[in-house]
Amino acid sequence: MKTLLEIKDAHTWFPLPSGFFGLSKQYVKAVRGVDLALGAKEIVGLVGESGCGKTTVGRSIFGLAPLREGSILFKDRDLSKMDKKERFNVRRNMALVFQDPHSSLSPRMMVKDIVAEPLVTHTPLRGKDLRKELTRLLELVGLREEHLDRYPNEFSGGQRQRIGIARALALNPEFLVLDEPTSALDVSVQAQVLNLLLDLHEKLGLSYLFISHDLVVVKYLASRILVMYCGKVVEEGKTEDIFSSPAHPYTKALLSAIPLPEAETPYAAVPLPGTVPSPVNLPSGCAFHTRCPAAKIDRCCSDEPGFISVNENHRAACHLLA
Amino acid sequence: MGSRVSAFKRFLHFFLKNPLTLFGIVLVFLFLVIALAAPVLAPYPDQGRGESLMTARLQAPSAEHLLGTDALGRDILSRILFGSRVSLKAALTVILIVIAVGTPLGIIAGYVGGVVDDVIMRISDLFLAFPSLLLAVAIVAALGPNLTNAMIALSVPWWPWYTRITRSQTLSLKERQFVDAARSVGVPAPKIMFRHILPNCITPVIVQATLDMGYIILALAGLSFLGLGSQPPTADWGVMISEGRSFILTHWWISTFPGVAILFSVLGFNLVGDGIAEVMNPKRRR
Repeated sequence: MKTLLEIKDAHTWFPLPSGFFGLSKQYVKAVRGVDLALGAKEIVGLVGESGCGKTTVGRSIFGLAPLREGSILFKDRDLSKMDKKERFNVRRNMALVFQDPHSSLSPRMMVKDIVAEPLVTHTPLRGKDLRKELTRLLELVGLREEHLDRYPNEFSGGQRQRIGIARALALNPEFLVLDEPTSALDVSVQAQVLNLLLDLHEKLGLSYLFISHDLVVVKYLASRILVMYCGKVVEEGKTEDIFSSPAHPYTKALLSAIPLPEAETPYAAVPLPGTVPSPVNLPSGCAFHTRCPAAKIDRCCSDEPGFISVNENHRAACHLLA
Repeated sequence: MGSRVSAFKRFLHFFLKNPLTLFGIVLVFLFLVIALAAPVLAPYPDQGRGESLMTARLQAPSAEHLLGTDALGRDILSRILFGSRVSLKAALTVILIVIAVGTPLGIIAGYVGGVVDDVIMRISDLFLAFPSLLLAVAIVAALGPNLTNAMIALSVPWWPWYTRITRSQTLSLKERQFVDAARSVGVPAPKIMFRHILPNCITPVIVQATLDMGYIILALAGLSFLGLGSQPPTADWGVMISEGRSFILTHWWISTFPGVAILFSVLGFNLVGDGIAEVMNPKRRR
């Protein structure tokens, strides 16, 4: 399988405004060494709880969150090593769909101007041809031409998300980063949007990096899953493997938290004590050791665990697997 | 957020339920009509433009001169009507200058941030550190007293308010996802500021401008009263009050009626501004 996008050892830190004249500089370590590969026509799920850095990973691909270390490669070419114009052109091949369909569309712009923005920025398409293309895009996501001349506030959440998807598709990208595209929607609408995304995946041969905290949704779409905790990937594998035999204690806890009728849950309940550690002051060793329900060994508190293969294409970062 | 139609209805509903705001709207509307139609409405249009008639000096209000005449025999009503044009034109000009300067600076400061933000905001603090009217007086004194200079002098201390409003709006807007969406496809920064930020922060600017209209009319009248703004024989409310002040005990109408005109125009703009601010503020919406 051809690799479209590769993230290598990405680190993203955000400075905290703190200290006397910023002398004691502190950082929120949002992402601490993430490796991720997205193949052509592949759907990869990136899951984790709020604040684990999954959104930041997605944003860093678009230069919306600067990398402190590491690199992002699109078709084996490093984005940070490109000149401005080259990077601008590469942007055509990727697009971002946002979580909140109310904040992602400017309330003062008509739908036609919102969806047209990528086209106006990157192509010479104007006037009648532009409108024809916009109509095609809206129809692709299940809306109609008449919706072009309206403002976003005349639409429901699901329709707004469709507009957001139409904008993302405007330049015929090869992959989309979907940042919790359904978490702000009603359950009934979620299913519609997910099916639309699956449809588009098949029809247009798109790849998705699907960022979500909802394991059920990810299971429905993704063929491969990465689980993040405190800025690191703790487990990675095929969707079936992750769901049938989770290796990392955190993944087990996540799976056991999926709301299912008790009789149907295949996972034993794993309550996690405590709260997520602060990303400013992370615990030593394995970041999860403060809450890990598994039997701990000394190394958990001192050494950061590296990846250990569970089986082919399935690995987890946990000392207990060694 | 409702649709555009319902927003309009909400406005209408609010204004109809708030007699004070409605009263403000009527005052502002009257002010605008008078300013536009002064030559038609004034009983003695030539006197409104400054022609004097020494045979009719200092006449008390009567059927012939509804608000009396001044020391040069000019009909006060006509001059008040013509004075509204001076006030409106000058105040509008000041507001437009202040918005044209303050708003882009605020957006740039908020969007670009860093050193640019610091430089713009420290410069604006510098202007805010002086009492605005005092600074204006000093500037007119330096430039020479006439209406144009008075307008410049009022704009100089006033623009930082608009920079502050738009900067704070920009700071919150630039975190919104539609700005990220534009950045992610590579829309250049100036276009993001103009197309995405500006249209979304114009509302508070308009509210502030409506409120400021009143203050600026007042400040301009004040400068003219001190002899630093419009010069006689221009029919300016400030000038008229100033001309009548030596007769205030014997011929009260010369200063009083222009004063009443200032009162009602300032009141009108303030009531409308308060009304708009209240409609725009979701927390105070009933």
